[in-house]
Amino acid sequence: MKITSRRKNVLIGVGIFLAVLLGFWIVLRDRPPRYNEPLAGQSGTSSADDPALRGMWPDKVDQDDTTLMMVAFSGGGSRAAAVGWKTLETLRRIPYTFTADGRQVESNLAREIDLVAGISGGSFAAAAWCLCGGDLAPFQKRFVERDIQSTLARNLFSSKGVVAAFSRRYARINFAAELYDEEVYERKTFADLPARPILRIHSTDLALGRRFTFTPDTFARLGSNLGNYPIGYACAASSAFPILLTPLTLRNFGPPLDLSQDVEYVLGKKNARTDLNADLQTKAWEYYNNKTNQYIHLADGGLVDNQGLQSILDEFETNGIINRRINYSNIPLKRLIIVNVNAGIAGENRSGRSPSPPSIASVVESSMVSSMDVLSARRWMDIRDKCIEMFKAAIDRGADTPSLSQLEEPYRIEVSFRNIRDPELRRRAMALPTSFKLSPEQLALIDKVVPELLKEDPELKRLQASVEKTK
Amino acid sequence: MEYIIVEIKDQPNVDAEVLINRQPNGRTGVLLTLGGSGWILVSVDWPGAEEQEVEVKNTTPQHAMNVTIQCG
Repeated sequence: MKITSRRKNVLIGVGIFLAVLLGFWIVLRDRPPRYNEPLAGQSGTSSADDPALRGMWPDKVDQDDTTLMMVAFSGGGSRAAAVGWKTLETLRRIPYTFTADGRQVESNLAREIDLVAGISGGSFAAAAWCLCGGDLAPFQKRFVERDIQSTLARNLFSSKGVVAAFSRRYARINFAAELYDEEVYERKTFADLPARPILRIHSTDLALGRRFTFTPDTFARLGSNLGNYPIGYACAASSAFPILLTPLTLRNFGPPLDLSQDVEYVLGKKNARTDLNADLQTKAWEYYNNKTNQYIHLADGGLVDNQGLQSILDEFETNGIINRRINYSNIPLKRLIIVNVNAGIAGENRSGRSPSPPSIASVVESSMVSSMDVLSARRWMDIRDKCIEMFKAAIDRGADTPSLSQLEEPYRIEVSFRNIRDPELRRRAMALPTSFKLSPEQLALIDKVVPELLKEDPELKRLQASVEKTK
Repeated sequence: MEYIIVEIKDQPNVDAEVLINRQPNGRTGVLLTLGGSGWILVSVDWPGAEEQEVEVKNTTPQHAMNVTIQCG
């Protein structure tokens, strides 16, 4: 068969194109992203080594020693980041007065925050608060008001996108992580965090289907150092929503730890028969200790806890921060304040109006978002029950138990669109998108409703009355 | 939640730090709150203090479990 000149040129062109693709594949297929680094010296792990747990009390000099305040920021993309940002901005404007060394200190409620937990979009606000030293204006400009979505999409067609297309290690999530690291958090790492507030960024370990929290303890189980890991990468892992973004990968370094010397593990195994959480926890530690599992793949934290409330519940457990603060009797705990910042939305589900089975999108919505909202509601109720139980103990034994003697009924403050009283405003808030982009009008809506939600919250009113009374 | 009171054997008036699962968590002689039921390792930061594994369950603030730590 005779090949025409034109056909020959096409074949040569296709050949060159395939050769270029092959070249890219050969050069880029093993191009690694930035991974977590191994610990300089391998050592055993203990929660007691966690700097967050050392020297928790007394508080920082500008904080009220008798108050423990924790805030959980939910997921929800830029909407959640903006709701978190506005909540913090509003808390900064709420006066908080306390007495220290016999003198009255004029402060604000945001400064009292001891721990912030963030999930997905909420992790960006949580991290920003810990790093910003009280000034959220840079975060507002770099993230809240920015069209992150378009920047990420543009990266697909940049040199980074080419690398992501050919590398089996460097994926789309990595250029998101680099963007957050370089342009939102100025290359800050966990070592740059202050001692207070404590930051808890959560993601989901896809192999275990469990929450993965960026703490020194968790990283030590991977033989890794959290200190030099970028905050922006942790936020990327926390917000790596399946399909839209690839999971973010961590390295799991050897050698394995001697778990027989790990008291939490040994007791966890002993409790596993009756305590399912202990059973799952020890299994997770065994998984990390099996160093043939060289890589840990992390996805959006919202897959297992979309409001970060499990993070607060954990602190009620034995040796958790709330538990240890209750038992710390040198300075009795007076106020436990928990703020649930929930940027969740609930659009109308119309699938019941049609005999046709729900669409794939509707099924995903029901199975991944709506069911998680039900679980989160349960967790918020569990926190209420823990607070009630704790306060009852203070009523029963407070007089002869120094640590409980001053305790007021714990405060549970909730920022949630469900509490917006104006039906039209509520409808508009509930229709806000879950994306990494908000229009000025959408931001203005958040700017309006969040301060009102806080102002009208009965628990915040009760707290403000108590603060006023003790002036 | 569960409740314990930890004391050192033959030294009920000693004020020492209590260690639960080897982490400091409260003082001796006062009511201590635990997150939930189950086995824990209790000791005190005191010379010669031994560790004791105890199973805590079904306690209340009024009926806390008493844990006595031996000091060699």
